Amino acid sequence: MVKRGQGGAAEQRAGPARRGAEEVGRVRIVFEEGILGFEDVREYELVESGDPGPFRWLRATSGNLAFIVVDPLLFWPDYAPDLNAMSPGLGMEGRGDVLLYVIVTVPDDPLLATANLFAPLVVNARTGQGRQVPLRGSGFPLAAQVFPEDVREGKVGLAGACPDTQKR
Amino acid sequence: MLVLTRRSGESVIIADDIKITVVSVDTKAGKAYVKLGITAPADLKIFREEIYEEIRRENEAASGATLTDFAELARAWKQMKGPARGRSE
Repeated sequence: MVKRGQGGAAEQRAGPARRGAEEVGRVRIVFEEGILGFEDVREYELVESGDPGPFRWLRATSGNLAFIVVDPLLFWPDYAPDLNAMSPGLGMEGRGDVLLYVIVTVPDDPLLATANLFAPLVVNARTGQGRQVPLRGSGFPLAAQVFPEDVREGKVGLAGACPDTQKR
Repeated sequence: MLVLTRRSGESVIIADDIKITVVSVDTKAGKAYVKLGITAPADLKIFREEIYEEIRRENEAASGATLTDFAELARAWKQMKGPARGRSE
């Protein structure tokens, strides 16, 4: 598991972390098969920014491609796909070897962000090899709401002021 | 593209260890559909094409995230209460 940010950082106001600045740590991950739609891009780094919370950037080491990812267990504690069956060949022997992330899609209203539980990113922590693994037949959604209803409802008050923020 | 005609129950073999069998051919609501049986090594990924397309589309939508999006997610996370948030502490 990637180390979380310092408590002090969590108290700071959330602000856009500049590329290269306020980075707490990074881990290199190679996706030999790429990520679907971006098959040519293989080398990424998982970047822990200065912003508080569990979100991370998965950033291509060259070019501008980047995804926001998150540890799904923080939001879906019961999420337990059978990764060994689904991703043979990654060489993961024990659970400790596995880093599991899901890609977050952020619509115009970030409170309506969704995560792709159907095709998580599975990473062998020992080798740094990663793969996007579609969980065939699992029933996990491609777009699960990240934030619970009470947080999303906080948006309802704001929505009056910004009526066009709801469009995806 | 190689096009082969097969009857129900007949198969094609690809590269020694992949066998695709036409299990049945049927019509439902005026549309023909084919049921295929596939025998292949376990590490071979086999998916309906649409599933790949859906994941691709979702990945492409996710790839447009901005620094502002990230900061907004972090802010929303701070508002979260209850068990999900508690797990992170």
